Amino acid sequence: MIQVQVRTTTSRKTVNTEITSTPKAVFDEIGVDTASSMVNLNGVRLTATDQNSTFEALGVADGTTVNLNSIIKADGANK
Amino acid sequence: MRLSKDSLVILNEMYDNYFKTQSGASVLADYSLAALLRYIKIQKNKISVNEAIKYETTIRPYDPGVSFKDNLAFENNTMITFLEGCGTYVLSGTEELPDGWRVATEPPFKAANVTSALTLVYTDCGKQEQQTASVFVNDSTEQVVIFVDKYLSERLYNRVKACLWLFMPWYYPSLPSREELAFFKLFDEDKEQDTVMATIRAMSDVVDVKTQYYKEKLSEHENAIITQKSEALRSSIELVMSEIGDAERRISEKYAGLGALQAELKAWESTERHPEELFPFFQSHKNIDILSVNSNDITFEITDFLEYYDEEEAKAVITNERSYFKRKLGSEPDSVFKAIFVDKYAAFKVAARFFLRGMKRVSVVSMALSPDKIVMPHPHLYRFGCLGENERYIRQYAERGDWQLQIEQLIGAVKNINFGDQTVCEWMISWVKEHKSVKCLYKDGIAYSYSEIKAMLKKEAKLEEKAEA
Repeated sequence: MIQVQVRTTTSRKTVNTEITSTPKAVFDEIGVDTASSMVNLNGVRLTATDQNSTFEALGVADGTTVNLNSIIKADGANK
Repeated sequence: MRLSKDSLVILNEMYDNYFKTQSGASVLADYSLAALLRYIKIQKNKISVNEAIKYETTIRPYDPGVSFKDNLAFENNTMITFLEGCGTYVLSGTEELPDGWRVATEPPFKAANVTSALTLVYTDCGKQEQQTASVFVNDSTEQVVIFVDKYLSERLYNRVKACLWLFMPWYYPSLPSREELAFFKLFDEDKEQDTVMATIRAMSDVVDVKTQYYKEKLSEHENAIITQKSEALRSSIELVMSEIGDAERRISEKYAGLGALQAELKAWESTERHPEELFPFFQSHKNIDILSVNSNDITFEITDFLEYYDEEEAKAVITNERSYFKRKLGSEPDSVFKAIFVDKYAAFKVAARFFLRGMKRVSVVSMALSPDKIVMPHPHLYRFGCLGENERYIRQYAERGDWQLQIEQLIGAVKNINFGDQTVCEWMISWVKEHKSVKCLYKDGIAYSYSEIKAMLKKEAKLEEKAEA
């Protein structure tokens, strides 16, 4: 069991899950769409493939707490 | 109380002052006439004392400058006017009268010493005198004008008054009462003040003028005081209500401030916040270098690849022969930017500097160059110190005390370039061409300079041509 601290543009939640789960499954569970977002796990950016990989495959050890962040890709200049 | 009950019936505005300086039957006679007429008004018209004391009698000289008709005009509250011809006007009998006025030619009742309505005979100092007095009445307004061709002598004045009831049929369709007749008769004699006052007293006993007068006056006074006090209290209440409103607004503002402080405290003490979370955060982010730390700020640099942009827009700008991009590059054939931003063979590494103040709010530091020379300063953040749309999200995170997500958003800002911003992209082209040390990470995982990639691309193109041949 791991504790995933999820931070998104609109919410901040803590989810307990198994290391066999995936970041995408966690986002789905709390209803967050990451299609146009930048996602990182403990500061490491996750590609679409990474988001569908298990936490275990992404190097997360059982019994730890991880940060899973999703922020909006915004333009530097105001349009 | 200066006014006695007996004299109240002759109250008017001048009464009080007048009797302070004067006395005598003649003066009293003037006031007693007014008193009698007001008494009559009260009795016959059933009006209040306060209403009755508005009625006056007057003596005035004839004005030869205006017509006889105009001389008869006077105020509505004047019941009896003595108009003195003063020798300047003699009645012709054909005078034009105002509407409603008529000449009283015949008295309704036979009276002693009155030969007709127009001629009065009297004895003055043992000598019989005769003087004409023409009487004009207005039945609708119940007013009387008595015109004498010369001056009104006191004797004549008293005689006219003594039979005045004869010309007031609206008050006396029949004979006056005994008391009234006695009072009228007083005018025809030289009575002492005490005698006159005794008669007034008799009338006052009939009409309790004191009670009436002061009932109304006290009621007016009471109402005035109540109104005055009510208005003052209402005004005070409004002022206090307004002050309460202001105080409530200030309290409301204080509560809002308190709520913000409590929310901030709650965020700081939140169970989601773990002690010593700064170090693990920065340790886990390999693209962040801490430059300095003091009691207030953590200054750090984010280094990452320019990867987030509108690909369609980038393609249009880079490949369009007439775009600002091509104009900036000049005639020199260039495949490097296409390889980087369209074909994505390579990526520029860029850096920008920021600080985190009090674990609360991040800010960008403009014009701060990275010590790593192969890294290009972020075209937008370095040059303009502007976070663009990222600022909106950062503010949102700051409001909920989430500094981690603020920094994650900064990473997103560093990875972004907006090809719609001509100034920024032109600045990027200039920097790359002027700073040969800047490198790109190529598809083989090695960092190359602009010219090195350009040469590699040329080489690859030749190899492809050969292969096709």
